[in-house]
Amino acid sequence: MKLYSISILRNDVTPASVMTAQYELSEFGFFQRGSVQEFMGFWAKTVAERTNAGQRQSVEQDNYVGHVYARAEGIAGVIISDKEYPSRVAFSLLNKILDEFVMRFSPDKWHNPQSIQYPELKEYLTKYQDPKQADSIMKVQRDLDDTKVILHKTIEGVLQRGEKLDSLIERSEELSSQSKVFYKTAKKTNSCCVVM
Amino acid sequence: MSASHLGNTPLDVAKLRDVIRKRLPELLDTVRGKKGLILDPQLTGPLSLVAEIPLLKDHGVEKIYHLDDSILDTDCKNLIYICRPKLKYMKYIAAQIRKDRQDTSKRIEYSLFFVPQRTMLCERVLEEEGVLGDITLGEYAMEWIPFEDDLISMELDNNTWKELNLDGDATAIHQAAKSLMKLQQIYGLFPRIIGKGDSAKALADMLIRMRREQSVVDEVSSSTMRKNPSLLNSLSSHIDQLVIIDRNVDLYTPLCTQLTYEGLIDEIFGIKHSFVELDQSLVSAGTQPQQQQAQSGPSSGAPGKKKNYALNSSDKLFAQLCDLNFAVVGGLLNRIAKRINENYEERHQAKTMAQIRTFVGKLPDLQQEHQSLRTHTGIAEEIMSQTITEEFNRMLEAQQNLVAGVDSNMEVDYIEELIDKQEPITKVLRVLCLMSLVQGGIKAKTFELFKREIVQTYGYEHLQTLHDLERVGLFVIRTSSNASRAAFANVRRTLRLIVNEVDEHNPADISYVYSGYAPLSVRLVQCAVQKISAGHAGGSVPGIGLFANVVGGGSSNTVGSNHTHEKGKDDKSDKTAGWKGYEDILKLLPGTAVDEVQTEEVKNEREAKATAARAKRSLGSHHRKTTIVFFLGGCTYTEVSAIRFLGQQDEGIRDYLVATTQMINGNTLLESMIQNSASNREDTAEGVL
Repeated sequence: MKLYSISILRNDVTPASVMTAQYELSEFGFFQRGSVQEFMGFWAKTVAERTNAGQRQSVEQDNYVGHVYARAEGIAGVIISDKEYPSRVAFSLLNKILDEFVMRFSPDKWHNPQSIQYPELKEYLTKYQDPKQADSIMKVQRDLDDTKVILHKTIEGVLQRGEKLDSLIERSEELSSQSKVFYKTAKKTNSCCVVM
Repeated sequence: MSASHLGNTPLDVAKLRDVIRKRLPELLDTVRGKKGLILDPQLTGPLSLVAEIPLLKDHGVEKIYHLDDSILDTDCKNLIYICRPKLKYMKYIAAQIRKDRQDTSKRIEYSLFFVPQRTMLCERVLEEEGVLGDITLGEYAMEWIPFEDDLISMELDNNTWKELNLDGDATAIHQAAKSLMKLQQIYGLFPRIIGKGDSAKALADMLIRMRREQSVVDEVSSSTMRKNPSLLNSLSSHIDQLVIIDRNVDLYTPLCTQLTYEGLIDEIFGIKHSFVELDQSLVSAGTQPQQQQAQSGPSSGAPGKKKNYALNSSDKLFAQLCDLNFAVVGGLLNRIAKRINENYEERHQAKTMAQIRTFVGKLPDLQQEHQSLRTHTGIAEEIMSQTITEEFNRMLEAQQNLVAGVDSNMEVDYIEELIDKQEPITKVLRVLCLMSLVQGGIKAKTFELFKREIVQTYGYEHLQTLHDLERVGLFVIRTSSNASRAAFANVRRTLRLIVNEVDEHNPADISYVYSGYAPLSVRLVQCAVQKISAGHAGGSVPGIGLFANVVGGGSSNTVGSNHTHEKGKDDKSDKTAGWKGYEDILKLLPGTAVDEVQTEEVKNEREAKATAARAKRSLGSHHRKTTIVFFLGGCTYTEVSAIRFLGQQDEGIRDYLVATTQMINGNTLLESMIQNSASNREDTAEGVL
């Protein structure tokens, strides 16, 4: 699963304008990258325009999905990823980024995109390529799976202690095959003859 | 020692344990401060079933000692003795007190609690020894130790039968009467008391007298009645009758080798106070040292170290095994092992956390079962190693032939062979006494032969042993009258003691406990309680009506005779009818029969009306009652299993509670009679009264 781009745009004006964006396009051939980036930028703008404040949505296109979160302040974050990428992670990332952005850059700075320096965006893009690493929920899930494996191993260990059940099964089979019913006198008991 | 396996019946025998348990701290608290406890070694077993060490420590007990003739060296300022009223104990105590008296720096307070009650004789001895003034005397009535919900025991010494029949000492009857009175105080009057045997009659008479005495006391001082609330004046709503079986009536059963799982454990290992001593390796969990082992004492897997293992239904696996004929035990163990394995395999199905958690939740119980399985597989293997031997089977054959009345000289030769091989004298005497009993005595020439050979092989002291056995009727010369021989043959026939078709997996009759011999005592219980139809010598086609509803191979659709009683599906089950209809059979057995009905005492008309109303109500209520079977002189594990079988047959109709003076087997019974046996060696120090 891959993240292709993260961009933050203003969508309180039409057309929406990009304030900052990062792209991860190493998958594409060298010559294609330019047009892909352009396309992605265009797509992000369109999607941002069509998303109302306070709304989140995911838009699918061919193999790509755009996750957009528009905040009430008039900015929106768009993440373009492949279909596999869990949307929950994308949205939690969007939350995080937008929160940080709003804290860092006050609205008056938004007019001047050039002045906005947001290098952390690149880091996020890289870091969140592997959602499991970064996302806390996924981390918990992974820990859970690890725990299950450990649990199973522990249970195995506990069951190994003490005499192996297999040997008990064998021994009791031995017992049941060896034991025959006890001797029973077969003579009739109604005999009244007294021989002595 | 927890008693979590008790208390699941209407009678709730856990109450009995609580009664004793409560009294112990009360007793300990009569002495202030830190104390040392000195116990009768034969009481430590029963006491451990009732109270644990922390409880004692909570009431100031610092140290615990065994009462014996050794010098007691202790710092305790207070000493409490708890023991049975035996003369030799009085002598030990006196010796210890006198010795400590010499050391004037120590001022020790002594208390002595007799179990179950003090005797004038003991007090006299203490007086003669000059220590009576230094001791505070008291009593600790330990009436009943509940082993299971359906088994309670007085845990008297193994000598009871010998005391009653050889020594002519009826103390045990008095103690039994007091214990049974205690039951009546808790559960109400026994509506009916029936029994067979001279001692049984004496016991019944004593019960009736004690009840009269109690009501006089109550009349005189109504304050005692308020202090000790008891149900003694109202008929029990739980118990419908007490059946007393005098051991004398059926000596055949204990002499035969028990063939149930618990019975064989008793025969081979010996069960004391429901504990059996096992090799540590059978009981400890695996080879890895774990923290748990620390609490069982010095932990080491060294072979030869013994550990006490509790045999009761708190071990669920044991509860399934204990009453089975041993032949099927291996199969059951195998099935259970496979089932536990399947349970363990379920862990592979556990995928979600919830499933894993459920599995882990089941794990402790499974592990417990696993450990239990391990122990019992080990025990069963040990037993098997003995039951497949030629010797064991030869002994069984001899017993079966004797009880079945198969005549031959082989048994005489067999016994001679045992003596020649110098087999333990208990083993020899067991089969010898069985022969004497069953055949109405031994032919004079053979008798003399045996006497001579035994004395020569085992020692001259056994002249006394054989003499004692003769006095109690276990080893006698056959007189010209064939009376007793014919009597047993008659009993065997009419009560159908020998059953040829025995299906150990699915027994249809109590005879499975001896693989073909139904314990006479339990047949009597069947007569009195289940009202089985008895066949008579002449005129009945074998198979029809002859115990058709209790004995049968496989299915119970016998030739549909309408006379056979449907077991208790009718109202007859509510009423007890005593020995009515069985007088002929009873005449064949030694000792008198007793059959008494107890009624509530009515003081005035108002009470009379209340009583009548109560009686009407209880007759209408169909909740099932319990029948108590009391063995005076000891009871075997097979008899308990057989009565449990009756309980299954009477499922929903009545419950059974087995009560006994103690648990015995053929070995313990005879050892009380044998000179210089381990159990008697200490007693010989005692003076003869």
